[in-house]
Amino acid sequence: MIRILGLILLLVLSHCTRKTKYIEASNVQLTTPLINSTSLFASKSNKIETAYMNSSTSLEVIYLDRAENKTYNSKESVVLDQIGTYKLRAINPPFLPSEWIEIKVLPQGKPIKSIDWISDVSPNYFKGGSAVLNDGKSADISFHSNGWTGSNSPFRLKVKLDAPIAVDSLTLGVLYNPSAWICPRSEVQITIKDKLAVVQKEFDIAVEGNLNEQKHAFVSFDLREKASEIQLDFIPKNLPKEHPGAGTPAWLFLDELIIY
Amino acid sequence: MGTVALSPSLFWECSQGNPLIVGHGNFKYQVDPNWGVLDATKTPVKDCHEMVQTQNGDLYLLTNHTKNNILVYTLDGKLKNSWGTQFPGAHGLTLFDENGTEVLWITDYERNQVFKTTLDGKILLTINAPQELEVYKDKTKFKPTETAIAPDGSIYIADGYGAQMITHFDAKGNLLNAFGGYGTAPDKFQNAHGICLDQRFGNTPTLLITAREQQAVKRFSLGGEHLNTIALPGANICRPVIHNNNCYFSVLKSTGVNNDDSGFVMILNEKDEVVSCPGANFSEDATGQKHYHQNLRLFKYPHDVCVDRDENVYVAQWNSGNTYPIKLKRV
Repeated sequence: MIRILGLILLLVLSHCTRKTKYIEASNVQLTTPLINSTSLFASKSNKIETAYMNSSTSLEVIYLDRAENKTYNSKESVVLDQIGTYKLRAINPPFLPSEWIEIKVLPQGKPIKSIDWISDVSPNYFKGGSAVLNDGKSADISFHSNGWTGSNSPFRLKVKLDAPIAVDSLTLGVLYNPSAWICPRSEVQITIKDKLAVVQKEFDIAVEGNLNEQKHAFVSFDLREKASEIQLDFIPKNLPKEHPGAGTPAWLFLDELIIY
Repeated sequence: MGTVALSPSLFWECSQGNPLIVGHGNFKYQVDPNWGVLDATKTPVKDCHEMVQTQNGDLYLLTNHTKNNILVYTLDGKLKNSWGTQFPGAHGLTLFDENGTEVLWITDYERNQVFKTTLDGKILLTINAPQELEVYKDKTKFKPTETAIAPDGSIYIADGYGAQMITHFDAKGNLLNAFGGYGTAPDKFQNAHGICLDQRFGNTPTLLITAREQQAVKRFSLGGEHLNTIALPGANICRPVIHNNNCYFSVLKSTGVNNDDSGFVMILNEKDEVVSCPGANFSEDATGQKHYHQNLRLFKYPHDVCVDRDENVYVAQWNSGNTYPIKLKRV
């Protein structure tokens, strides 16, 4: 009798633990949804926008600077009123959570009077024009969106300020999407002008990541000069050697230019 | 486009320990990732570009790995044969029944040529860049991605990676006609990636041609007249594959999500309505426009689908880390 019961138990257990050859939900990762903020800057009106996210999916949010962690259902608002870095991912058990994405919430910059984009070549991806560089909005991750403006040939940005001010640094929002030949790799010569002097500084933009990644990154240049006008000359570099398009110029897509 | 039969609430059915079921409505599948996995040291793949099924049930996979451009599978995923070392840009694979004899058409965008072969790899005909056309004076502008063969044996070639022309040749390879080209007008293309002959509607066959970057498939007459465009927002569709009354697509990637490797499979019925999207879902914007987007990371960059006689779907993938096709078993 005990043997029979044991056999039955064994059969039941083996049935319960039998592995299917087909993929199970618990082994499948959720897609990383399109997550964006309504503004680049901290404020009570700056909220997370999640396009195309399923209503049964929740958002797990970590505010890194305070190590705060909270989960929001699809109907709750996520307010970004603190400067710092937020990590977000979609969760919906039994599926594996999506990849984390990071959103940086920046302090407000100093006022900019105008930004002009100057190029000998008509840029193919000038959808947003130079206006997107000073609109305070974070561009959608898709390079097709109007939030970006980009070029793979040399171009110049001329930034005019209302009055001569002390400029500590300059921050640029850039798109990293190597599968679309968009790699922030460029030489940048920054010319800082005020009434009395002209100072030139040279920098390199080189954002790292894997070839299938897409991200909105920020690069900063330490300037520490007084300026009434700042001129940035970009010379996009070639795609890196590990890229299928190695040897051809990388596209540089810009979103925002902020002066501190 | 007519009423869409998808429901967002039906994008998966699962329970812990049970196989995941993907798809919608009557087109649901279990996912078998191990079908067709081979010894990569002996029969490697690079990008798995396209697949077809022959009359005897064998499945032919085209890869741009020049150790074996063609892998021949039995239905149970075992390797039956392999051949081909001369197609570095192997991309399009079309099967055609030529008076009872099946032949393959292979496009090679790196060699700027199209080849007709026997099922065991003997080259029967080569079509070069039609340099009588101004756009192809430089033959490297001819980067063919797909073929469609008309009942009379004439060949339509889609130049999805080149000048975006659709060229029409007779069965001997002589140029008959050309249309298309790069642009945003209804009869132009941005990435004329795939083409097939649609014979679902009686005696008037038409051509279905994908405009992958435009997230649309365009219908043309055999003479090259644009008839209509089916918009599929969010879905970068590769080639149309007609099976029974339905049209299947692999979607290389979708634009409504954060990860770039965001492809899925899409199925349209004979009314051009989307009836299932394994691995994906849709959302409506404020205007009611539907956007299709991946919601599960089952696929990397699906590049083609092959539907067998039991309605199972085989998904060949580009840039997926040298992986073999994934089988979707119809449930």
